[in-house]
Amino acid sequence: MTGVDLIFKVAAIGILVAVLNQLLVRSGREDQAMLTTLAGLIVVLMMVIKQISNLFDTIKSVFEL
Amino acid sequence: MVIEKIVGIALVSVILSVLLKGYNPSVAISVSLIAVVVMFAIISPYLKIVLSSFVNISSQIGMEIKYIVTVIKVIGIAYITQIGAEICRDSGENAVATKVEICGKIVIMVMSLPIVYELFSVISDIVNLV
Repeated sequence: MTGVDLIFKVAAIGILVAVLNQLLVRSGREDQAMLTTLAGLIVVLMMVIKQISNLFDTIKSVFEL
Repeated sequence: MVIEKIVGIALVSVILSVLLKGYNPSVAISVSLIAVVVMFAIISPYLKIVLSSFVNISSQIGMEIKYIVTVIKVIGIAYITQIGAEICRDSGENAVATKVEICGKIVIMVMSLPIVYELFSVISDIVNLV
């Protein structure tokens, strides 16, 4: 079940980035907090893009588009 | 069983997505998007069986294969369009979702144009016969 692992991975990145964001904001480093959020978003987006292209390939092969 | 797997994935991803929505909305959307991918990957072999049996039945009753292939293609385009539009709508972008749906309708129209032409040629043949 690599798929469910992927969901957990993305959610873990999200929670981690949220916690780091709160931590950095509390310690008065707003710019670094913003950069952390951005980095997490980019990492997640890279994973999502790969999966989306996977999905479209599957749909193409199923519906013979 | 497949359906338990699907519902379990849906519930887990919904809980994670709702949890993340307060802190990190874009990652929450990514979670639901990946859930869509995983669910489709699980269900696609079954869908393949259904579609190939449609093709088999239509060839057995002597229907031309290109019509049923066009119908299957239209279903596929509708599916992709719906995924995109629903993701946009979940993120609160109703306008973009509507545009995606309109573009999907136009693509479906273009795919079904040959059949419309054929229908009109059949009609004109009948009219000329009479």
